[in-house]
Amino acid sequence: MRAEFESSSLTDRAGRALHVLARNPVSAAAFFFIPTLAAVAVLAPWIALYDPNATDLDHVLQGPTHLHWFGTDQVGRDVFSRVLVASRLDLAIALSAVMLSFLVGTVVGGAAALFGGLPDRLVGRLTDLLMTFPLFVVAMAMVAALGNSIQSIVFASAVVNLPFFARLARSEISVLRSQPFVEAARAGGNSELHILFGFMIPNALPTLTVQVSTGLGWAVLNAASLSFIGLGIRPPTAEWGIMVAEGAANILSGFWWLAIFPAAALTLTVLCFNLLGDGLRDVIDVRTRR
Amino acid sequence: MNGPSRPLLAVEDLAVSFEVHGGRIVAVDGVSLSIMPGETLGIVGESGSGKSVTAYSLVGLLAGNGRIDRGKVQFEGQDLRGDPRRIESVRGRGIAFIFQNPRAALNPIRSVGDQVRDALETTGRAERGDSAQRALALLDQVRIERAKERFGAFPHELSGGMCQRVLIAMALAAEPKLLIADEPTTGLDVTTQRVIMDTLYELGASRGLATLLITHDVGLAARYCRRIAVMCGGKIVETGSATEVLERSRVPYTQQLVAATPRAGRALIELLPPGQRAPFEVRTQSDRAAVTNDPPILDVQSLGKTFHIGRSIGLLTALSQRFGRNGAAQGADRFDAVRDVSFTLNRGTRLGIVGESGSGKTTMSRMIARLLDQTEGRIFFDGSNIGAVPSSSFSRSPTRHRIQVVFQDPLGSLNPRFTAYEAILNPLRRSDPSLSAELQLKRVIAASRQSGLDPALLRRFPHQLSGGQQARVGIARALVVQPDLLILDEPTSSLDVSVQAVVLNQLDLLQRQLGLTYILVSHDLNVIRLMCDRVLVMRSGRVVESNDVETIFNAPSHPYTRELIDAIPDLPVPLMENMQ
Repeated sequence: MRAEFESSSLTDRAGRALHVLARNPVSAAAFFFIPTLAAVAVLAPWIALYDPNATDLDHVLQGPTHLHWFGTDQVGRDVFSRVLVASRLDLAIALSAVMLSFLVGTVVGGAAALFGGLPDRLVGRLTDLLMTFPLFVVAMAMVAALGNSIQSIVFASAVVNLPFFARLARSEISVLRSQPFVEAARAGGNSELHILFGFMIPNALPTLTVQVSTGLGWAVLNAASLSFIGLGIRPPTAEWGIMVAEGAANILSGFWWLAIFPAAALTLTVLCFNLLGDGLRDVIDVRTRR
Repeated sequence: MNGPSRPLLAVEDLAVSFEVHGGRIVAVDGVSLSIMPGETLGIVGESGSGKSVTAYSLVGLLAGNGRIDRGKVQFEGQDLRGDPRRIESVRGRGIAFIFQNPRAALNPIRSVGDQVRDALETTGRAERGDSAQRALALLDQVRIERAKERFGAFPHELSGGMCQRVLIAMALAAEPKLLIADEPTTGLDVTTQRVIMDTLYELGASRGLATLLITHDVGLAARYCRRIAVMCGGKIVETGSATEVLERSRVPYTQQLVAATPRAGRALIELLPPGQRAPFEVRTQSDRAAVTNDPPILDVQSLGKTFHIGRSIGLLTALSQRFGRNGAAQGADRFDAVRDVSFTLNRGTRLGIVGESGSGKTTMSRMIARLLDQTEGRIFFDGSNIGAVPSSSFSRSPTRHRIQVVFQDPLGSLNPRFTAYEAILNPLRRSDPSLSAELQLKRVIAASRQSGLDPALLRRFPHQLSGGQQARVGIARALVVQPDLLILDEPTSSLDVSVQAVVLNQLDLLQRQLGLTYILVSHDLNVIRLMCDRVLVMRSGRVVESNDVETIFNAPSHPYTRELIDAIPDLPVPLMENMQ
């Protein structure tokens, strides 16, 4: 009986989500594409028809056929299998980078808003400083300095995303701080820690989740861009940025499938993360419920 | 008054509906009314009755999802409906509007004088050359003192009442025939309200200006309107002269609305319709002021609070200090919100703190509730010096749960992500983490019953509850930990009078059942009169008068108290009747 009175049951939430999606088919498409993408990424080694790195010199640079849906490349590798397997790496990089900047950014920004004074000014100026540089150049410099590895791409993407999360968390928490319900929580005997984790962060989550979703899109693009210019991930690893870079060289020779398919995968993924962000805001934000 | 026979504004069978997802909502359903030139008509109703929508639809100011379904609107004999160009030519010229939130209705980056000039120039009532002179004269007319100095002031530099006067001046700039005033004084102090309403009334009389006053306050309408229309559920349930409607109404809704409005000479229980009254005897005078010999539960000694305003600028302040401006501006940066307040409170007493905005009443209640640190003074609660415990660590004090607060904004003070159940449970869990789940459930349900909240509503989120239900969740949340002292900070100021009547009665019942001591902070003297034994009158951070409630209302000794009491728009004698 007690559970009935607590925050919305799962069915309640699902019903709400369906309602929002029914009104917004574009978000709905994103909602279904992202889990599909995640499933494909996880299952890629089993779905892929060919070994993504196996060369087949008898069938080089063939256009899309029923055997090779996206065609083959210069050394006869199956482009479809490579696009599938590449999603694993790109999504993993994006996810870990965004989680890192989300956690650090929320704590840093939240602390700045809560304590005010010197910590606040310090965080504010540091984020300002970071944002005065073109962010992609910062990421390039960091990968160049840290060495070509997946970890350094993750780290660079996380640092580049950090100011957005820190600023957002700071503004959200400082708005929430002056809300009457926070004062009411204080009167109800909640300690500052309880108020932060029980009242402020849950209320800031909808906005932060939206930022996570758009941040994921940016991080995928960032990882692909770095490898596109030859930083971080090295061939022959299957990765969208590298594949586009390699394919771009051949596009004038008429081998369009080499660049188009990885580029399309990349575009679709980034677009869907952005659309997901918009849709999530409507579903998660309990305040817009009627 | 021998007015011309043709009405200035005639509305017939007006219906307005709004499109929301899931269908259309009818907001106004067949309203007919008429206003003669120079007449003042009051539309009275509770929130959601359709009174504002009616007014907005007359001049084509409906929100995008609204539409007029049927009806006729005639202004000076001309049909307004369905002719956008005619509406535009009438709006702001023939019919002027003033709104509820005056500061929001003004352009924040333009001086008020210039805004009045704009109004004069756009309506073609003055040329560029003489508009400044005319604007100044208008500001004078709406009784803005030292109008010359304030001509160049920006809206944020003026008080709310002053901003409303500027808006009236802007409305008058066009020399309209009809002024629609939508809750013109809601949110303003009673004394300011009185000045604004008197100004409006006199302007109406001297210029032959007809006024449509839209208000939730029956007392206000009674005082300033010749005729009153009562709206409920999108319909006008009754129209008539002020006395007819207020004193001899046969319509049950009107009777209930009038009865629910607190006024002198009425007991708390009389606010409720007879069927809803709880079965208990009316409190008599003798048990009101229960005298005990126990030591007081609360002893406040020379409490003071000073805010430092310039502090947040930080770096700039530091710089200016470095460059030798140190101390120069320090006096100006201080703001004494509460100064040297002392009082004691006996167990079971009901203390009212009354004052206008900025009087320090809320600051004081927050210090007593230990949500804010005082700058000076001591607070003893049941013998222990709680004033010595900083507010930041008071959550760990065992006294925390003995002092509880019911906050002003019922919706805002509830965490939007907590259901009503979780909101009420939260303080209970903090006060006694070891409580078993069954006991928690039992106590939460008991507290919600005490507060008059149906336990079936406990699973709802705050925004799924009505205003009155939200207020009750707030009360249940304070009661669930069984406090000794309850601080009520304007608990009903955002509620409709009929809901307020129920909530006030519930609070009164609880106070007697549980032997609570409470402090009621309010700007509404009528509520204080009903709910309190003793009253502190505050002004600019000081207590100007402190006495028992009868003395305060019947024989106030301080002129400010008298001014406050006189400003209450009370029901019995409409101003118009007096004048005739």
